[in-house]
Amino acid sequence: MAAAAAEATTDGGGKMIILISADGKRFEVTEAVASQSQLISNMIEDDCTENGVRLPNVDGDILTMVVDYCNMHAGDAAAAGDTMKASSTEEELKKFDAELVQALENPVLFKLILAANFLNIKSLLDMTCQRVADMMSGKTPEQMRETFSIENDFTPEEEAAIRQENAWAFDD
Amino acid sequence: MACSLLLTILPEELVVEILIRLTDLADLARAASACKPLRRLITSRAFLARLHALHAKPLLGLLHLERDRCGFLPAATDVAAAVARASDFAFSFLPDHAAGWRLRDVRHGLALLSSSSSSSYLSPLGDRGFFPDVVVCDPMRRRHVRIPPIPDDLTAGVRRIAVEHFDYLLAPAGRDGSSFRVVCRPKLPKQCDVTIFVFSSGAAFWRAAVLDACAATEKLSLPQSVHGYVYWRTHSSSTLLMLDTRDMDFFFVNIQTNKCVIGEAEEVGRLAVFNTIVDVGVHKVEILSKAIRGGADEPWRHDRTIPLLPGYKWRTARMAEGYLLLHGIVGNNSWSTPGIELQHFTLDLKTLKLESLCASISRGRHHHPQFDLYRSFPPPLSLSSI
Repeated sequence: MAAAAAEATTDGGGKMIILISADGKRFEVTEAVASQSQLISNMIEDDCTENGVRLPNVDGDILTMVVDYCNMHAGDAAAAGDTMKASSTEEELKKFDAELVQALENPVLFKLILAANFLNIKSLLDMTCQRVADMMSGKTPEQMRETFSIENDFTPEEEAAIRQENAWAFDD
Repeated sequence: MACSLLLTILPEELVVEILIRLTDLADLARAASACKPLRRLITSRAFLARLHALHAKPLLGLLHLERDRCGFLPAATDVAAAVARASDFAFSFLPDHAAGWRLRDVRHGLALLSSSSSSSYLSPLGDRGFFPDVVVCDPMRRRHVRIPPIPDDLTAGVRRIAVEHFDYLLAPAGRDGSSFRVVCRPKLPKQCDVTIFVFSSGAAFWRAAVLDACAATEKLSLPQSVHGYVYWRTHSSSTLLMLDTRDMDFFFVNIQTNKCVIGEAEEVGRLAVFNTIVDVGVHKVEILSKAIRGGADEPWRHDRTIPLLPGYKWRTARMAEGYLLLHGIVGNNSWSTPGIELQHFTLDLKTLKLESLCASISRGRHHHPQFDLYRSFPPPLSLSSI
C-alpha cells in the first residue's frame, strides 16, 4: 500500500490513466493532469485506476471541458511529461478560463459546476461559481429571473412588502 | 417546488457557493427578492453567519438627536445613501403616543425609544403607566416591538417614590447580535437605593438589581454598555458604577478622570479610556485599558497613541460598535459658532484607521445634539431580533 502510493507520486507525471464518461467516452490523461481532481488523486493513491475511472454522473461533453481545463492548468506538472507544452502564463490561463465559460448555456454551465464539485477540482468550482455570480451581479430581480429562468413565486403583496423592506437595494 | 433552473439542477449547497461570491450586498438583497427558495437560502442563519464572517458590518452613518428631533447622517458610501433613502429614521411607523416618542439609544441597527413622560395617561398601548412605554425599532425594516411593562412585584420598591426621569440603554446580548437587553434606571432621589431593571429579549423577562445608597451612587449618569456590563458615571470623578447584566451584580471600577470617553476596548472583557492629548502641537488619542473584573489594584495598560489629522480641533464623543467617534472643526474656529461645519470621524479600534464619516452644521452653543453610530447589515442581510 505504502509502496504503491510512493510509486504513483514519484513517476506521477508520465503515467496515463483513462477517464470514462457516463455515455462511454474515453479520455486518456496523465496522472498529473487528472490529479487536479481531488477525487481522482485519492483513487490514484489508493491504486484503483487500473481499469479506467468510470464517472457515471459526468457526460462526455462536460468531461471534454473538464479535461481541457485540467490539461491547460496542469502547470508545474508539465515539466515531467514530454508530450505537454510548457506551462502557460497566468494571463493565458485567465483568457482560457473566460473563453471556456463565456459562451456556455446555463444548463451546461450548471452541469460543469456539478462536475467540478463531484470531481472536487477546487479552482474549476471557484471559477464556474464566480461566473454565475458575475452573471447575477448588477441585475434587478426581474433580470435575474429572466437570465436563470426563475419563476416568481411571490404574491404581489409579498413582493411589495419585500420591495419596501429591501428598498435600499433598488434604484427607484 | 423548485422555482428555477438554477435550483433544479444545482443542489442548495452549490447555489450557496455561487451566492457567497456576490461581493455587493445589494446584489444579494436583489437575489433574495427573485424567488422564495433564494430568499430562504440567503436569509438562513447559516448563510448569514458565513456572509457576516466575510464582510465587515457596514458603518451606515450617524443618528443625531436634538431635543426631540431625530435625523440620520449617512456615511459617504453607496449602501449608506441607499439606506438613508429607504429607511424611516423619523420612526413614523410607530403608533401615535399621547406623550410622543423619544429616541433613547441606538445599537446594532436597532433604536430604543420611550414615551417622553411618566405622568399617568392612558397609553395607546393599553395600560396606565408609571414607567414610560418602551419600544425597540428597526428603522430599516420599519418594524417595532413593544417591550413589556416591568412586573409590579419588581417595581414595588420604587412605585411609592415620585420618579420623573429614567435613563435607558440598549445593550447587545449574544455573540451574533440576534438578541438585546434593555436597561432602565429610574432616577431616584439621592438617599434612595439604586434600582436597575434589565430586560432580556431572548428570555423576554425583566430582572431587577438593587444596590444600597452610598456617597458614590448619589448622582449617576451617562450609562454605556461594555462587553456585557453597563457602567454609570458617578458623582466622583474617580469611580464608575458597573453592573454585570448577566449576573445582575454591582461593583465599582476606579478611573483616573471622568473627563474622557470610556468604553469597550477591542479586547473582550476590557474597559478602555480615550484621552485626547496635545504632543508638540499634534493632537493624539491615547488609549488605555484594563480588565473590567480586574479588581481595585489592576493597573491601566497603555495600548496605543494614535495621531489625529493636523489642522483640526478635536473632541472625542463616544465609543460604540467598535469605533471611537470623534468630531473635528477646521483651524481656529470655535465649537460654539453657529453655521460651522462639524466633521465626524471614526477611529476603528481593530485597524486603528481614522476615517472621515460625514459632516453636519453646528447650530451654535445652545444646541447640543447627541450623535450615535449606526452600524448594521441592511435587510434582509441582518439577523433581526425583532
